[in-house]
Order: sequence, then structure tokens, then C-alpha cells
Amino acid sequence: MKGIFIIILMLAILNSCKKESVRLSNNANDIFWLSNAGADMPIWVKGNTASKIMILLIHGGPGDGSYSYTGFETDQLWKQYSFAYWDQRDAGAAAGNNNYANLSLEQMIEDLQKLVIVLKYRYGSNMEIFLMGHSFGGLLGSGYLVNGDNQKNIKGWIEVDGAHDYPESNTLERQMLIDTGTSEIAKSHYVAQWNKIVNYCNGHPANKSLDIDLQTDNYAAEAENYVNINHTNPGINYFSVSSPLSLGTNYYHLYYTDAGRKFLQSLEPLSYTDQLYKITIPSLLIWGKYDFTVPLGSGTHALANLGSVYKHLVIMPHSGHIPMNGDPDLFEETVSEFIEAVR
Amino acid sequence: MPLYLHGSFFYDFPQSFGAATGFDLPLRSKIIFTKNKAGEEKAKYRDLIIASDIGFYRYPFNNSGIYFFQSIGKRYHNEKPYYFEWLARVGVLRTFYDGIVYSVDENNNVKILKDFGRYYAITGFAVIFGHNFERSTNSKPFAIDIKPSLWIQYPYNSFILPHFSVWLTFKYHFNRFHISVKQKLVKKSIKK
Repeated sequence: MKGIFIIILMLAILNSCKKESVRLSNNANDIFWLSNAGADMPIWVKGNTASKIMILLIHGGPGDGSYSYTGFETDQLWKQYSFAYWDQRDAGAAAGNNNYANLSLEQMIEDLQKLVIVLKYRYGSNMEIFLMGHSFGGLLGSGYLVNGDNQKNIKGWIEVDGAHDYPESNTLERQMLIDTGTSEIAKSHYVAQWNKIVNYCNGHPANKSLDIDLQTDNYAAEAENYVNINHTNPGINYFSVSSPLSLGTNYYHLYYTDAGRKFLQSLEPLSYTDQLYKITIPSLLIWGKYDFTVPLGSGTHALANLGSVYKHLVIMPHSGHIPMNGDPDLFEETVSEFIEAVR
Repeated sequence: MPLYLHGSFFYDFPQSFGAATGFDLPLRSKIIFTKNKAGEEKAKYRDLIIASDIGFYRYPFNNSGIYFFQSIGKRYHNEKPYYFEWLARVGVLRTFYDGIVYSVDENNNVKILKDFGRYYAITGFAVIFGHNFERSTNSKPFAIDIKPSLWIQYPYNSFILPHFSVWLTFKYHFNRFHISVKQKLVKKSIKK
């Protein structure tokens, strides 16, 4: 009996140790979860939390998961600051039971609001949070920032090839594919490949159907192979937070089932361009020069519309849709300069 | 017929590992005797078996889980020490997330959810390739087998999450555990 009591006591002590063992570190590697509205979302914090600066990464896709971003060469940023890699609901390693009815941009904005509160609770209210939204993360991040007084919790906004305006992105994407394709065909570069893309775009107007826009996105990704941009190979760690199985399952559900496509369809008309004036925190826009998916025009348009006094657009000269891949050193340097300027 | 108690280590691709324990036993056995042209007689066994397993896995930086699987299937063996089985499996899985789980209420109060995780139904199919040392020349009361298995957990984000796992199992036959099983004898002649 005495032995059982001691075991129960030890388990209770161990459990209480688990409660709050958060220590700031210059080499943090923490995992914790946010459970909200039926979804349990992992957040992986890496890097220098002792710097009291955290970059909260809002991944793209939707559905890509934050997993793929950990492989990019962000070593220098990890040394200087910390990153919080958040898997959005129904993406990456996020789990839950029957939660698909809650999948909407509004719900994801609420998830982000709660995540920021948890980060401040966990790491201290003086932790300075910079939001970094890539691609679809640009839509989600913009939606969060124009909402209520959310900006008071955020030190700066970094939009990386962000799709804050889906209809505009779709229109510019199609036009850029046609223009670049026509020009490249005239130079006899990848003629067969470009002909296929240009013919498709000419025959399929943007913003008419989800299928057309998804196919155009596929061609936009493919087109990056036919212009001279850099593709470094991200070193993906297969023993990190997300399993390729959960990532693949969530991705498949989103893109190849009616339930997922209903959500994707709901994003198609969304635009925050006319609300960007509400964003007044320091903002950095990073764009790949050869981004066909969300072309540079979206970035210049956002720069003109943002309400921030401190706002910059930096073009990555060797990049497509993923500048952290195309210009990793310049990307790190640009982010670091921005943070140091506004912290 | 023997009742086996077993212990297993398993690996769930690509990054979980765990252990399990349980038992398996035959419910019915069919013995098929065949006689070839030379008059040699051989016996083949077809056992209807059930197996129960309780186990856990650890998926670092993601979740840990405890599960119970109830299986039914067939065991194929003859006078040689090798055996083959297939099992259809159903069960229940309870996960526990790795790390602290937070929730935030409508007043923005943060709460820590203790031992938080989810229940899932699980089902799958396994095949087993084993070696029964009881049938070896130098008989020992144990067997080892390897069990690749495909299984799914449901509902995972209103969908399914597939798993592929491999179990390495050590089975021990305690002498005191013997059960009586209904046996059916079938005799066949092979003309060639």
C-alpha cells in the first residue's frame, strides 16, 4: 500500500513538472499545442527565445503545414530570434475528431488570435511577436491584422509572396504566365512547355472556377522550372513534428474531397486589399521577382494600400514563389534588418 | 491447443515506436491429411484464431497513444516450424499530445488541459510470418514472428489517418495454458 502511494506521489510530481517548464533559451526546441474549436494544433518553437523576439510563421497552402518551412536555411534567424511554426487546423500534424465543419477562414483567424494569446502567456507578455505570412498565410495574416485590435499584440508584419487578395492574384498569375510564356517562346526557350501553359491560360479565364484556378496554380509552379531561378534543396528532417502521413492525409482531404474543396471554394472571392489601410504596424513585403503564383503586382499594390508608416517592399532577384528557397541569404538579411529597425 | 502470451515491439512508419502485449488462441482447428501417390501422409493445419493486444506507442514531438486491438484471423501451418497468419483487427486508440496543451476561453483566459488527447476507432489488417520453436527438432515453448500491418485511425480531422507498422513479437506458451479446441479432420488423396 505504501509502495502504491509513493508511485502515485511520484507520478503527481512528474505531472506537475510538466505544467510549466518553459525556460527562455538561445537554442529552444519546444513543442506545445493549442486546442480550439475541435482542432488540436501543434506549435514548434525553435531558436533563440531568450532574444524575446519571435517570428510566428503562418504557412501557405492552405494545408501545406509548417513542416516544410523548417528545412529552409534559416539558421542565422534561429540564432538571432525564435520561430514559432504553427500547423493550422486540418494541416500538417494538426489533429482532432469530427472538426471539418469548423474549417473556415474566420475560424482560422480566431485560432491565430488565441495562439498569440498563448504565446504571450507562455513566453511572457514582453515577447515581441512578428507575424510572417507566406502565400495563403498572407490572406490569413491580413485577415487577423485588420480584425479588431489584434495589431496591439504584434510588433511587425512580414508578408512573403502573400495572397491577401485571391481574385487579384489569380488575374495577375494568368497574365504573367501568358506574358512570360509568349516572351520565352519568342526566344525559343522551352517552347513546348510554354505553349502548353500559354494555351491553357488563353483558353481559361481567371476566377471562373476553382478547378481552373488550381490548374493555373499548378502551371505557375511548373513555370518556375522554365526561368532561371534558384531552388536550394530544403533539408527536411523526417523526425520533426509532422509526419508525412498526417501531412499527406490532411492535404489529400483538403484538395481531393468535396468537404475540402468547399473550403477552398470559399477562399476564392476573398480580398483584403480594401482593408489594408487598417494595418498600421511596421510592415515588410518580400516578393520573388519570378513568382507566377502571387505575382509581384500583388506586392506593389499592397505596399500602396498598407496604412503603415514604416513599410518596405523587397524584391528577391532569384526567387519564385518561395524566396526563402530562392534567395536564402538575402531573405535572412532582409528579415533581420527589418526586425532590428523596428524592434 | 496452445494459448500463447506474447510481447511485441513495433515501429510505426515513419517515426513512432512502441510495445504491446496480449494473447492469442485458436477457436477451431481443421487438420487436413493428404496422402500422395507413394502413400506418404502429411498434415496441414488451418486454425481460426483470435488475438487481443494492448499497447502503446511514442511519437516524439507529436503524441503518444495507448491502444487495444481485438483481432480474428487464420493461422496456416504444417509439420514444419514455420507459420503464416492473417488478422482482421478492430480496436480503440487514445492519444496524448506531446507537450502542454492550451486552450483559451471566450474571455481570453488561458487554460492548460491535463493529459489531453483524443479517442479514435482503429481498424486494420495484418499478416504474420512466424517460426514456432515447438516444432523444431529441439523443441522450445516459444515462437517469434514478424507482423506488417496496415491500419487506420478514425475520425481524424473528419477523415482517416493511415498507419503502416511492423511488429516483432515473441510468443511464449505456458505449459499450464492449454485449451480444448474443436477439431475437424479432413482427408485428401493427391493422385499425382
